[in-house]
Amino acid sequence: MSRFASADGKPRIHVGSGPIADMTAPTIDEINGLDAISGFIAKDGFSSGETGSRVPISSAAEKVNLEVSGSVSYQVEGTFFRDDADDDAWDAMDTGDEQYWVFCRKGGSGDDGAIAVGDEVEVYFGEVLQKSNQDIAENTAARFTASLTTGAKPELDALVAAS
Amino acid sequence: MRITLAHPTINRRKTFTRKQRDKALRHLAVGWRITDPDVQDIDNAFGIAEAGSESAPLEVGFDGSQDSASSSLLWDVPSGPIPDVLAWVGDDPDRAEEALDVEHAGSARTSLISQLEQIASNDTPDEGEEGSEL
Repeated sequence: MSRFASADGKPRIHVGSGPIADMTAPTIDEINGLDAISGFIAKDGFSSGETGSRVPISSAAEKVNLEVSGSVSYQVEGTFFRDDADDDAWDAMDTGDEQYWVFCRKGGSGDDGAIAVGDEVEVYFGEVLQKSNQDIAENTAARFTASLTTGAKPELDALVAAS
Repeated sequence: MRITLAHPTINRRKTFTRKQRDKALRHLAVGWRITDPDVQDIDNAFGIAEAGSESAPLEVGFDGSQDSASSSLLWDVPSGPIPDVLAWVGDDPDRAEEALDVEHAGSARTSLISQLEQIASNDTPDEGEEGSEL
């Protein structure tokens, strides 16, 4: 067991309308039914952005500010390369689409790192909020960024089940 | 007490504490396997005995009795301030072991851990044991 590099060959991502019956245990068939766009995700191209809220509970008579935890928000966002021939990532989603994003952070155990049964994945569901091309720039590959709303509680410790 | 599971196909392992029993069961359900060949059942490995069961748990700390009240204590380690945990543990080495497992898996508060280790090491011998003659 060891630490691992976060973007050096391991991550895999599948996106699509699904369905995925159980987000805690997506089946391998459900995942393979989505669009595999791992080859398009940028090395700095995935953020789940979990943010918790602090709720102050101390009165004016207390010097130390105590707090309890409040709501939790997610800012799920992906950055993908454009392609002038096979623009698979761009074609896989449109603004307003309801989609599942299955992200395998540790890499899959299948051939060439493909997701396989028993692998740990993160499953997000929501609506594609925006699909935005990045500004053109010299010596820069064309990319776009897409954001996903939080349509369901993300499952960060999901396990791929057999179909 | 921890249990290690192995991925069904590749050399990847993951360790779970008793508190993560449900997560371990989910891994087993999708094909992960227990690495210890002497362990057949996850609850047996965690030393979780059902009330009235005849089999003695593997977990150190049980004296083999069928006391259902002792079994229920495994999940009763309080979370929260250190004094609450120490009050629950008292001078019971078994409870100290349980609380240590929970603390190592959670906040790992060093001051609490050191006190629990002291209590856990104060395990007195059974009444039936004979002392050595000098």
